[in-house]
Amino acid sequence: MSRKSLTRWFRRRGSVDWFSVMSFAIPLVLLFIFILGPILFVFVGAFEGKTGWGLENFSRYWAIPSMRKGLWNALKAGALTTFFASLIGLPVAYIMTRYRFPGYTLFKVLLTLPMIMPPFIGAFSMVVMLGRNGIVTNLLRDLLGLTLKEGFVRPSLMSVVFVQTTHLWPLIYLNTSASLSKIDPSLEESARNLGASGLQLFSRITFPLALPGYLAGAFLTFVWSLSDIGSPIMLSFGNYAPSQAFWELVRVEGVVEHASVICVILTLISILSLILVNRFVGLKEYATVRVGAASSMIVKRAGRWLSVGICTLLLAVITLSTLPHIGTFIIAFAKLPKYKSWVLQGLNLEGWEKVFGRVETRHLVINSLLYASLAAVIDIVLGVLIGYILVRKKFPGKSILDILSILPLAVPGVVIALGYMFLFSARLPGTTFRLSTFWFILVISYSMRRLPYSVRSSHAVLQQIHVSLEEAAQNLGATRLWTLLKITLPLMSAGLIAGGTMSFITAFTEVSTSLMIQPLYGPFGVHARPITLGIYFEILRGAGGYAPAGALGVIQIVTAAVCFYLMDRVVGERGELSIGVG
Amino acid sequence: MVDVRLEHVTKRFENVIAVDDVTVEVKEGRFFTLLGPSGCGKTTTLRIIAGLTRQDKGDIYFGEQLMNDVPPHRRNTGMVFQTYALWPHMKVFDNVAFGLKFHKVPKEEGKHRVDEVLKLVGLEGLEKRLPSQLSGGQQQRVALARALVIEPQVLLLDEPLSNLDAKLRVQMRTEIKRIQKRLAITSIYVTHDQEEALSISDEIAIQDKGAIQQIGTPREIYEDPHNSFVAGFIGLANFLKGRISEIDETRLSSTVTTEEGVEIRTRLEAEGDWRRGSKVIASIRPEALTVYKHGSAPSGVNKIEGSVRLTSYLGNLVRYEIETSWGDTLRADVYNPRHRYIFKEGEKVSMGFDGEDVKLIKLE
Repeated sequence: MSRKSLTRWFRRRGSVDWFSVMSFAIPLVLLFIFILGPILFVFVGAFEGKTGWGLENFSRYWAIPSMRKGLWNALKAGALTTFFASLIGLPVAYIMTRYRFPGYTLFKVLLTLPMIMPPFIGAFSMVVMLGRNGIVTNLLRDLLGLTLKEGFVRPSLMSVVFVQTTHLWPLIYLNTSASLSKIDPSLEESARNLGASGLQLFSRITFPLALPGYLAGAFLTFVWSLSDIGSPIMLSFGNYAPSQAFWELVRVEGVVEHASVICVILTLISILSLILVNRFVGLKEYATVRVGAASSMIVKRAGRWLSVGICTLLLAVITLSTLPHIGTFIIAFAKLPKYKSWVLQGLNLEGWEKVFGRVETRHLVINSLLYASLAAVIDIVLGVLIGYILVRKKFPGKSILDILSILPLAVPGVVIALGYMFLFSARLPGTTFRLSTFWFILVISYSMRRLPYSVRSSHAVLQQIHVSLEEAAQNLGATRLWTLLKITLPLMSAGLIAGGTMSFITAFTEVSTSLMIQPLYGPFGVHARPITLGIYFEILRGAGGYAPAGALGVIQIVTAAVCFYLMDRVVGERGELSIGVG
Repeated sequence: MVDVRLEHVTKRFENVIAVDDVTVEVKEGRFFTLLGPSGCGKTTTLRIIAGLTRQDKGDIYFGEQLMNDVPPHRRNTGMVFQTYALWPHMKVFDNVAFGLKFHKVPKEEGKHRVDEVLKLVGLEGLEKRLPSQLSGGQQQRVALARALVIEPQVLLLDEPLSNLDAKLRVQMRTEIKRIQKRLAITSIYVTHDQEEALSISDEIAIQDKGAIQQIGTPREIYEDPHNSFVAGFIGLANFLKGRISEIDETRLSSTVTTEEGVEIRTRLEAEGDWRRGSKVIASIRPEALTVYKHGSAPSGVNKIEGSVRLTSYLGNLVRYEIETSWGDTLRADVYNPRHRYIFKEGEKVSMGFDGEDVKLIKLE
């Protein structure tokens, strides 16, 4: 914003309203330091060579064939995963919003299961289930005579795509069905009235109207896949750009500049695609307008054969995407089968004893619960503040806040992680203490990575709360603070709980920064590790660590499931209150 | 209860002038209406009075007190919002009682006052309901009760009836009027519905493009519109453009020759600088036109010939759209048509009207 508009703004206000100015300035400064700061440091690291500024690091990076291969692989995986996830997510979204069939409610619950699967241990249990000596691989061989020497999941690009697809398709399903259920039924009815039907109706009316949701889901899938370090590590697939960045950072002889270059390239790709998506969706925002009748009017009851078909399809999808859950439970509770067999060897609780018995793993669960809770609290507070400013206030420079708060969605986790390493790696004067080894840095990085969830959800609820609800309170004598506490916050609570829960769960299972910012060498040492890092170290141990890793994975799954359940209970009741006004 | 005065109040949004140099005075205890088409700035004017929008220029007074820098929560106005703005998470009782806390009303008295006001608006027994469990009309009453219970100096109503169906709208407006009269509270009412405004107000201000066009009692506004906007906006009017061709000072009458050469004899108001050659618009209400069989209009009245284009039978009246020989369409309303001949489309007719029923509006 120009200085002119700033002075005009002050003049219009008469006097400076410091309360408003601070409530705008504080989040802005925080986001500058903790979101833009790390990204800038990564860029500096990439462009600062031994001989000064320039593309020196880039050309050295580009000269290594495996690095080029890794980048190409990541791009291919991003595109392919998005494609396959759409192939599953779109039909499921259409079926679930437009048809009713026996078992509908059960299916609806089962379809959300992938959302509670921590990605890291999930990829590992895919190896245990479908790998060369996988349980399901052996089972299929013995039952159906299906032999795949290398297994279904092996160190290959297509396997990475497969694992990502089974994990990520719900992003497309959930976002698309949110858009689909918001479509005013009369839009489809009038198209029918004018003679459209079937595929034509879908391609000309329904899909274009659902496009914003679909694109949002597809974009999230693409970026997630593009910045995935968990699956390639677990599948031992080497040439994958984000995990290459991880290795360059972790290896003793690693080249940190390569990591920076990879991060810069990944950032540019995902920001570019965000701009493309935004340009496209920006035009389509009318799609969310909905008046009058509920969309239940166009919900159809599926006939017998259609029901059979739908259920078969959904069962296949669910089976495939709950394999990681089943695998994790098997690893946690059972003795794994002998080589080339699929028969479990009986109960095995050794993993649980180890997790809670050993010094280095005893704290993991408590740590992550603490970190994720703190991150969720920070997100809720900042989310309310930023959401409120974005919806209710007019400030010069508001769009900067908007962009900064959404940026972490578009920036790969590895970039944030590397940036935090750089930003806080300075040694405090006179000590050996580095900020990046202080566990609270992890909390901040979690909260910043997940901030978009809470900002978006408080943004969305606030837009539904008609401003006259607040004005009415002021008109009757309530101060602004009182109005916020008694009117606005209670009305927002459903959205805040939803956003906070999302922040909590995803922070609890977070991979990139958990692995890369290792609070390992600092004064808090081994006691400050987050749960995902614990899982990583367990699996590094080899076979002896599988059971404890599985146990930790089960804890992650159960925690996420409980949180989702509680959120549904709380929000489900109050969710209705925020609708139906104005 | 106080007087409310606005002096030269102006508000711009970006490049649109929302409120243009508005000066009005609302006397204590009166029912004052801001009437105008949508987007005319009436709601902005009301919000400026409530303090929810800050004016760029001009002053607001409640009585002798300058209110410009008084924040909305200290103005002691009770506002009824177009959307009702009932808090969905509070019961009816809590919605109504909300404002009492800030007006230092003791709890016991507060409860009593809520009971009283709910009785006044006819909502006894619904205290425990949530707003979502009420009908539109009931929600409207809660909103009114909530604004009244704090005993505000001024009651502000922003299109409060626009979300109700036609029957309920008529019922609620008489009720609002009844309550206002009983409490004798200074009220400012915003609406785009002229019938509503005429029926409910002590005084009406017509606003267009931000500026006040005319202030007056309902009767003055209807019978003596000061410009063609007011004449056209309030009720229906037929406009004939022309020049004054003759003035009879003694009988206070004039002859207007329209652009098409028709001569109309009209009444001339004493005040006003009327001259021969002045450009004027002759405005004639549809109910002032009588429709006769072609050529059979009595002598002594103004006559215009035409043919019926459209006949609408509305029960209590027949509305004709009649095309004149020069191609204009005039509206004529014939009331109580029970014993009359109803002209069919295409029939040739003569329209007659008295010079007393013509209102001259000067064109600049």
